Amino acid sequence: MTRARFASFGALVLVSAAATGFLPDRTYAQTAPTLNTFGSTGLVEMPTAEHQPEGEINSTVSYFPGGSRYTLSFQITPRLSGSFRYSVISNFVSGTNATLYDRSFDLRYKVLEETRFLPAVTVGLQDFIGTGVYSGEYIVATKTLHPTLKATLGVGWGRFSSQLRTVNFGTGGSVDSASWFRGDVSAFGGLEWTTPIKGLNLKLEYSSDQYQREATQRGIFSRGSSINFGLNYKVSDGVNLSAYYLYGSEAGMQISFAFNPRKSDFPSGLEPAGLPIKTRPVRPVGGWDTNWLASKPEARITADLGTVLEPSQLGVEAVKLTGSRVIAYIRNDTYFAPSQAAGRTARALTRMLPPSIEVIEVVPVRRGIPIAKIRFRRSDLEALEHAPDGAAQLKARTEILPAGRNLEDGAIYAEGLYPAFNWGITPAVRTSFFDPDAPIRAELGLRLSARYDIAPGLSVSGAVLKPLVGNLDNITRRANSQLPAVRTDARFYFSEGDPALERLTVDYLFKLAPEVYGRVTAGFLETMYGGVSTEILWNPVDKPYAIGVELNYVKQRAFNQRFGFRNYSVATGHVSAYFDLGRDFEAQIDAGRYLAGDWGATFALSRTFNNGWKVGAYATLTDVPFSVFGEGSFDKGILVSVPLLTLFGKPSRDTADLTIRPISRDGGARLKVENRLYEVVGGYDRPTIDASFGRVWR
Amino acid sequence: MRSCLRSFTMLVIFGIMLAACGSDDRERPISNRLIDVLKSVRAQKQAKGQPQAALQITREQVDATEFSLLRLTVQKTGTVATAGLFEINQDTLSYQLATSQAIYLKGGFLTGTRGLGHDLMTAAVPSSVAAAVKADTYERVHRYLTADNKLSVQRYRCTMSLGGPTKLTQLDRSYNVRIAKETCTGEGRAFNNSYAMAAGGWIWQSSQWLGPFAGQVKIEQLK
Repeated sequence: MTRARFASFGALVLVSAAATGFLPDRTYAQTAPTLNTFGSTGLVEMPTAEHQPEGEINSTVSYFPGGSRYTLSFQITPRLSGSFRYSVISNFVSGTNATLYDRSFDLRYKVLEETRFLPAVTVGLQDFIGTGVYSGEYIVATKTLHPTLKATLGVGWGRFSSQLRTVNFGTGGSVDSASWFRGDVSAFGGLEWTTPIKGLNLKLEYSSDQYQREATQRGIFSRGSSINFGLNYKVSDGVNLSAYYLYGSEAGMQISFAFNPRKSDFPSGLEPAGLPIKTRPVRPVGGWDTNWLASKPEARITADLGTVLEPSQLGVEAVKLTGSRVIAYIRNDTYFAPSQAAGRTARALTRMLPPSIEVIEVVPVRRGIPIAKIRFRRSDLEALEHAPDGAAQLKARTEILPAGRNLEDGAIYAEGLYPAFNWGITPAVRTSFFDPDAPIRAELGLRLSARYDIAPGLSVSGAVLKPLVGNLDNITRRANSQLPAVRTDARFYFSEGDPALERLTVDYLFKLAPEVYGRVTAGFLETMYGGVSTEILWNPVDKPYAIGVELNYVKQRAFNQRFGFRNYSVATGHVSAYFDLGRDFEAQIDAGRYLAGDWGATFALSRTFNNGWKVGAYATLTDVPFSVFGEGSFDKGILVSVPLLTLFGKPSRDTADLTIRPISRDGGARLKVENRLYEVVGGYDRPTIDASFGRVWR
Repeated sequence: MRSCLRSFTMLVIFGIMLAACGSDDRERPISNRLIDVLKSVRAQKQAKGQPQAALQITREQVDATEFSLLRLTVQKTGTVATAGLFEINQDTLSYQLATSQAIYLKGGFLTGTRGLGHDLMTAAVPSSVAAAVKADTYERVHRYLTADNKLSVQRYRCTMSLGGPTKLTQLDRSYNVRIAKETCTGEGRAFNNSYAMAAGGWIWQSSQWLGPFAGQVKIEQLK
């Protein structure tokens, strides 16, 4: 019956193909690919071979009587995409009629690009880490038959066939590759038509998902037909709405939001223009006069530079002058592109420096630590300011060097930097996701934070949180951890910390050598731990990697997060390697001892765009057996950083960071410390500076 | 609408905003500064509703200044602004707007903008409009910043033709000019610029294309 139906459906696809004709001059895949109820590129429920534009981030919410699905998808490369999904299925668990809250991950890879005669082909793994509720694999082909019509045919296993797979309730999280592409196979397919109504696509599919567990065994909904209908309406570039008629009896709805780090409404930003260069007169025959040095203009130039850089939101730490060279130490909390901060500083300097100064060195400083030295020749700046390929030419002539251990002798600090006291009261939002009792918990509070900068690199800082409203304090679910409760006591910290001293530390950051950084942090390091944290980082400016070592001795803090401790203490630490893999990819490996005393390593891979967007995933494997770890088997998660202000065209290095961790357990748990060195001094190496050097004249 | 909707959804998904206070602007959190941004966007929108004539410069004001002045009209939005000559480097003139944007002119050609969101970073053009009139065809190379901070290069093939003598009236002054029309094609599109050129090659007025997003800008040389 099923096969007969599919055969007739396949015939329909072929007839449509014939009707539209294989026109020789068509443009392939002209219409933007849309998403299915799983948040993957697809038809109604079935996938297609298409992929989203590179870098696209889609968040999708879909609902039908068989469950709701919340999916975050990322187009990792033009051919590879990944998804994380949180599904809620009522009455799913037999015997208890309990609702199932399930987390799943997908990966899809496009094996073949569409050509004139051949379809695009994608191989996909659905729910390949998790309990396996939606577990299935497929190979699918999609061909653009006409600029407005696309046809898809695929074969699938697991969920995509009639064969039920065992669901690993309780643990999950392991990769069961032995069952991939095994067992019964079924075919699926469908059509997507771009209607003449702008933004409206219609979809028709033959679904091979039998929903045996939901429809046949549990009776959650009825599945009378394998034919599904869908319509997708593109409301705007970033928003799609869909409606479905499913299985001959059910209706469903979906909304999806798309973001793409490679697209912007203000790609060059709305920040004001930097100052133009003031050129020098022709060099006198006898050379430039350097008698001006006697007047000791450093303090004046430091102050003037601070004034003219204020509209650019750049700060001046210090300035040093010689007869032919200037070093400007600057604080850049504004521009992701180091070249933009350095370019603005250098151009501003041309307006105030005596003509004898030919070398302009800009040194970004963070937390009092000079990081890299960007060395321009003033005559290059003068010559290339308006050259059509001025950015490329200047890049070739600009040197990126390590900055010294300290500021050079004779540098004059700007006034009011040390000591300096800063404080702020800000709203604070804390969240907890995926608790089956309340999948989203949130709390709104107020955070008082303060920092006292005593000297360059040395500061005391802290934060106090006062929870106001929310439901974080009524978590009742017990973790049943077989390990020391290094993170699973979070509910007690949430409920008893009112107000909570979140952090109070003395931080000392320093350099041991021009490319070797050090940090010592002592005090209440984070909400759950206090102690001492030390770190050394080797971060060469002309290499795409860095290596660090961190050693900590910490004691678990009292639940009320005041000054007391519990009686658990541990020595924890990691050796970390950071790699810039090129093409915006970064990898990080942290190997060492975690909070529960377990040994292992964290592997993280992210796509880090040089405009502040970051999407990544990590997994931590330690010597804790999966069965002892508990639900999820091992720690893993997704990281997303969004440069919120730059979305509005405003320059800012601030990002809104979101970590989605399906389950937080005690294995593979790492200490949280502020001012980890790579976060402080990273991003000023030659490869990173070069990647965004196009902004040097912006 | 499109960008608003996208921005709004970003806020819904990632942001929660409330007022905050602190000792130093730099220390203020993202939520707080975002509020400032939204306020400024709203203020800009309100300003858009006001008649542009109220903002325009008069001949008396022009005569009273010592600077070379431009009046700019962005045709897409109708925004009018005045820019003053700030600096000259080689043959390129940098004009600055009161609102801190900048535009660059070389031989009558617009060769760059700063602060418009879709800036023309550089333009490779002939040395002047007058020189382009004499050329048969020539290439224009535009560079724009992309969202991921790279420079995208666009190449256009152009021709310039010169019309007969005509009179141009601009802010209470009349000039004898000829209209040079520039036609460029490339990158799957075409655009037309025009230049009102006095004898000797001085450009009193022009309408020039900034790029696919910013569109056309009218540049009037007031002084």
